[in-house]
Amino acid sequence: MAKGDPHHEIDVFKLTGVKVPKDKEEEALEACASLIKESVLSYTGAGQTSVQGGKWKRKLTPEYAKRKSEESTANFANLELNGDLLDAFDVRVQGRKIVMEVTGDQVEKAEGNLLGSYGRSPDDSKAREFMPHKRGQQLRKEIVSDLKELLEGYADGQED
Amino acid sequence: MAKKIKALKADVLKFLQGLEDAVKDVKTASAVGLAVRQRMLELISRGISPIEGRARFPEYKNVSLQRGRKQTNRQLRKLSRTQRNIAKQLRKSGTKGAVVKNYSASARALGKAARTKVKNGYPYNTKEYAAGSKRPRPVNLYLTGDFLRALALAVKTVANKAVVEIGWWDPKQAIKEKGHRDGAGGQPPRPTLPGRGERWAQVIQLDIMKVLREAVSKAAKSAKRG
Repeated sequence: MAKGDPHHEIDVFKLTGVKVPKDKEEEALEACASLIKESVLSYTGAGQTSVQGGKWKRKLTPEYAKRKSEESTANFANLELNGDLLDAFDVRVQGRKIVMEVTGDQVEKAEGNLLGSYGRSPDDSKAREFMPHKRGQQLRKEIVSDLKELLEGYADGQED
Repeated sequence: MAKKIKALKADVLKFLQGLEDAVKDVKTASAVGLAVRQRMLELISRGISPIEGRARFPEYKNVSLQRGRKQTNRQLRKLSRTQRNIAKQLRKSGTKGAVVKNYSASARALGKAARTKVKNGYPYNTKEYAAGSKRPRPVNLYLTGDFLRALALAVKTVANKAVVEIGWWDPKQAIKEKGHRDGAGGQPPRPTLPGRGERWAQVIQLDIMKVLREAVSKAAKSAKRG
């Protein structure tokens, strides 16, 4: 996984240390994928990073703020001008892992935000790390804690 | 010995009953309802559906139409330029007559089509848009705030169990929820309450679980003290 590459895989069982019965794994993974997507979109919508220790430049440049004010009521960086980038953000189950990624024509935009480059050289101070993209990065601890609690529900043998 | 076991069993049953009562009582049900309402409003304000699997609310119909039309107009302007250039080249090369006229006419028609605008509809046609308080993004179901403010909950007891309902009871606002669910006025559907076969978003399900666990934990501590 190259730095800035909007593709990240998570082993939620390893991450949380929770073991789930084999017959509940598929359902548990789907629930985790939903939780991760909802959480990342929610934090992003609030102008906050979903990455533990991640960067998020909240303030907009005056020119971009003016442009954004025509399209959005949010006057801070929430990665939503016309919504294309966030609509391209996907979280899905792949085997026993969960994959977070941005694909298609939004990859460059995603990289720009993750690296703080926006078509120029990377600049950490301008980055908006909406998902893990560097080696060793992980989701913020609140999301991991929620994942743990979610999986413990399956490990306990709880049913709906 | 038998007496001790009997007493122990009674204690355990009493303890378990206490836990069960804790998750069934009105106070817990209210706490669940409030947690769900709070999270619903938080998600909706960020353009996110409170229903599992729906993720972000789709954009407003007229915003999509405008974007689509802008792209089409860009293509039409390109084609118009191409036709004009062909007509120009033909005239330069000495070609005259219907062939050149056709390319010129085609260029004019394409140029005219490229100036087609989509009529403004919601949210562009609202006074809130003019005032700056409404924009295409985020898609947050908020215009005046009446709809979201009317989201309410009711707690009642049914067969010794507390039941909490959440939704819109004000008919003027309930019809808006139906409109969001059905996709009124050609808008894409944006339901806010889970229907048949649907579930709350995982973050909401987790909020509910946290409230219930807290209630059980309090009951267990209370039983220990008692």
